[in-house]
Amino acid sequence: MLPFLALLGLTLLWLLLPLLPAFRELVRPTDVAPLKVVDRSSGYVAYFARNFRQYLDRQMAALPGEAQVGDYVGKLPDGTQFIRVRKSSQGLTHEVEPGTQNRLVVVDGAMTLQDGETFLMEVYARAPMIGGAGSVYRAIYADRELGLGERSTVLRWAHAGGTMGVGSHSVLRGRITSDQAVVLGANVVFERIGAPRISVGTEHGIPPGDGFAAHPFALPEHAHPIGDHYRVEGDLEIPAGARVTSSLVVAGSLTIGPGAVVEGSVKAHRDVELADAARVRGSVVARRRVMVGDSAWIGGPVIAEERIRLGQRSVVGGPELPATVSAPLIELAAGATVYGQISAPLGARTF
Amino acid sequence: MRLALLIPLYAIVAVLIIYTVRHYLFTLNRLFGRHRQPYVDIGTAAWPRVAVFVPCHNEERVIAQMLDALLACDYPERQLVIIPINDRSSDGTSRILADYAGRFPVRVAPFHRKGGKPGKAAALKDAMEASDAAIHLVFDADYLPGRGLIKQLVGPFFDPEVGAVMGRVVPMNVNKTLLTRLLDLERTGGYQVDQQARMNLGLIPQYGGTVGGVRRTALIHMGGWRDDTLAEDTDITFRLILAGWEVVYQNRSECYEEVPENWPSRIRQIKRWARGHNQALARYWWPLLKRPAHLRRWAVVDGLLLLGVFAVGPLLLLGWVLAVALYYMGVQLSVGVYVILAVAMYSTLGNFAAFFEVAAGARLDGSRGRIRLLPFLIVGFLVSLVSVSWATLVQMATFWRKDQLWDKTERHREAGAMIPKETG
Amino acid sequence: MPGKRARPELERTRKLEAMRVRGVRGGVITPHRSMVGLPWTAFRLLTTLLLSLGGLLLLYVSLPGLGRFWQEIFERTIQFLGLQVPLGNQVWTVPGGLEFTLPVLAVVTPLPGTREIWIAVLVSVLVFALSFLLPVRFTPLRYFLRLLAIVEGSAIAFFAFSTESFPYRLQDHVFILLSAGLVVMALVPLVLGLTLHVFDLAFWKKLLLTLAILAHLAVFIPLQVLVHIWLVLHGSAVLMPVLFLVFGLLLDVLVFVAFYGWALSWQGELERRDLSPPAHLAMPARRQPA
Repeated sequence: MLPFLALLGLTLLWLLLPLLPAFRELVRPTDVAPLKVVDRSSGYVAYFARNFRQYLDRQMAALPGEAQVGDYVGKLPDGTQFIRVRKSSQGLTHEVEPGTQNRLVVVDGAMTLQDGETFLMEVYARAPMIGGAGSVYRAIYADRELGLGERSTVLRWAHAGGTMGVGSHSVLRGRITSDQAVVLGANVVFERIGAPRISVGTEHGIPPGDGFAAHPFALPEHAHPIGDHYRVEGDLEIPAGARVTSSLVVAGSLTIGPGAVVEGSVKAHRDVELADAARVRGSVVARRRVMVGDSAWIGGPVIAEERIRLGQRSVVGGPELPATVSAPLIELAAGATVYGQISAPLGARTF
Repeated sequence: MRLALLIPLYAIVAVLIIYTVRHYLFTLNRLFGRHRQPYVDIGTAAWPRVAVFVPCHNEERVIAQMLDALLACDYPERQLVIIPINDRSSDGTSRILADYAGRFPVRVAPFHRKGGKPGKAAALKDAMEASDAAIHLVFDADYLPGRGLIKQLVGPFFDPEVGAVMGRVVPMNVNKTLLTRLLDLERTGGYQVDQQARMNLGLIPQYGGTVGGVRRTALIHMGGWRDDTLAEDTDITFRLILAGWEVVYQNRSECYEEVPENWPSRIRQIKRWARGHNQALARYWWPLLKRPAHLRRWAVVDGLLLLGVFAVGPLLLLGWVLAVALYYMGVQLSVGVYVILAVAMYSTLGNFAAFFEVAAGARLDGSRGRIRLLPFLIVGFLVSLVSVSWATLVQMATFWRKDQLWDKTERHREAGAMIPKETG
Repeated sequence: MPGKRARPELERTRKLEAMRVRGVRGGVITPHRSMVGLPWTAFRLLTTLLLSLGGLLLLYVSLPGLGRFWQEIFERTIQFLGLQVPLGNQVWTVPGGLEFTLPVLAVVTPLPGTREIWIAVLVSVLVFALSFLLPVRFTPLRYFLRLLAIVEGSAIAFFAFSTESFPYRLQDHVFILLSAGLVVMALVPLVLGLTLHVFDLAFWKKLLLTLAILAHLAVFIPLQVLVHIWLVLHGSAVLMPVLFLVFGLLLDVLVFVAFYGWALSWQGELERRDLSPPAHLAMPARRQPA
């Protein structure tokens, strides 16, 4: 019996050997906390900017009196090195290397920064600020108007309480927000922008008025009603000047002709193309691409799973009708205007 | 005689292989495929009116925290109404709801049921007319939605084809028992991999009855909630799909839930799910197989496999019985048959996610340590397998009965208990 | 000298790119778990194929040695246990012409008599009853004990009515378990290739894991079978069904799943790289990153 018990013991031990990590994890857990569920909406674009502002307010409030005014080089209460300039950006001394600022910068007065500066920490501007051409910013928070020179780069986020102007050939990574408007130059590359109005160039589009002529369009016979919309198998083309009064789901591609109007929302399992001056009062959704012609208007969100192109002076949303444009890749022509938010994880570009 | 046993055994093994391959492809897709969450970045919009229904039956331990969480959300106040459905509660739930309704008269509008059929489905059906909001979201009373969750769940409804949305359920009480840890793994495999892969591939993600919602016009189009089902979520998923609507899963839209902490609770829960799911299987397998024109072939195949997910358990058990019988008859089955039957025991029964699917999900979550618990999956599976098989047998034996016995899931959280600190 | 040091512009570009994805303390800001996937590389595909086919090939060429190893274990253990069991071997040939041997017993299978059957009944009833005495928190164990009792009950029922027609001898039991074990071992590199090597673990970890599982099973399988042999010789063939069905292949699969779970809890290469801030990123350490 004893020899068998020895064999049994050895066999059990050998069997349990690979199970040791499992038993250890069971008895002395190393990974047993619930996943951290993030509180905020993923669509809240200004999240980091707001966080930074709250952080800085707390830090600045705790500074000694002499550090609160005038040019100053020192540390915030949490040890962060910072420099404040009031009159001129000449006061921005550089410790690491010329043109590179490794301290948090507080710009107290209206100022134009020098060209070619690199800011490794955040920049906080209390007054209107114009950044130099070719400058690189980790992040910027501007209480008022902000102008980014040509060929600027923002790495993480930028926010302006007033209007933000972005010079041509700039690269805006991360989140760009404004409480008023963002005006983009040509060949600007960005990922996410949120503002009451976002436009390419100084002229921006406005939503059309209600008075425009359009004749009713009869959907094809095979279109069938599903709840509050019609479904059409295959492709669908709405001719110029036609009006459709319901929402549409198209199994193929949808083309909305020049000046045509859809009073509801549209969805295509392939592409949606709005010709010049076409209008959709609701949202536009496509499994592949959405191509929006010149002076076209969309009242609601525009979602595509591949690409969106907004033509010249095309408009999405309105002053009282915020909307989101979202696709992996987005192109915006001069005059294209979005009231709300643009989100392009793989990149958006103005041209 | 041997053939009479061999044929069904090999058929069962074929079914297991199909499910294994399905889950393997889902795992590969989730790891390496193109990820679809097209609506998750909708942060700015003219938000539609939303009604959040919270079915409550004796939920005094959890309902206050739930309402606090909903009231704190960042959805425009004027566009949101919270409708707790007080379903004949006999504890302090009524008092708590009255208190909240008094303090937030516009935002909290309890709906009281004094009678009618028991159960969540019946409660939702009765309460549906209480609001004409465009979107009806549903949360169980023990859930804790984050501030941004309502907007995230509403975003997909800007797509006119979307009839229902489902978010991800995250267990909050993971650290309580071995059971809660196993259920956490089950949820991980089911949501992080299974549901998301089905969304990626344009198949049929399932609306899960909580952390999700339905478009009101879609509900009306289909005649509202059915009260003769134990799984109103599965039921409505298939009614929507067959009618031409789309169901969207949004992996980013996470919400805490409480999983059963003891085995009797788990057994009751899984039996209810099994019976409800089998009801849906019986009702919708044929309409699905007839393939409405708008459904792709692969969506039909996946839909059938989804319908059958709770039937696989009893089939597996039958497979083992057949294997045992053939053993006594001296039939030497191929080793592969035994391996398939054995590997299937290391799955999670709620969605039949295989062990590698669970591991992939946990790894994507960044939760590597808990993957070491994989061998214990067989522990939970054994209990679930027996429970589901028994429930299925009873259901088949009493199929003529129309009334449903609704087993409410027990709550374990103490009122006012701390919830996990949420990071922003 | 050209190529000896990165141009300053390139260095600067790398710094700025690193800053884009790294927080203030240098840690990588990763996308939310709902959005992440796993990048696929040609190297990983190559190593997956290499490890899978290589593992299979290794097992193939090791078969003769494995057969001799198992023969050795059988001889020594049978001697250690004091069993009077004549042991031989049988030659098998696999595709490719490779020959190897497996241990073969030449022993009369002890069929259960009335005494053995009644003992089995008593034990089964006790185990079944015990399952109801255990607290509810041991529900899985309760179910497992009932499963054992039911499977043993099926064996009792069979032998009670039809002892002579039991289709297996102990030799068959041994052969089936050993050959099934070999099949499981052959599946290990293939299943690992499909389900584990696709992840970003270091190559040497994947290699060691494959070897570890094979080595473990190479030792476990004969030990498992020897335990079965002793139990059957002392408890009769009434134990063979439960030993085969519950304590056979299921345990081999358990070993695989245990190793698999342990391996996938290891840090991946992508994570290891991300956690180490690059030396050139000299940032002041402070508050949470924005």
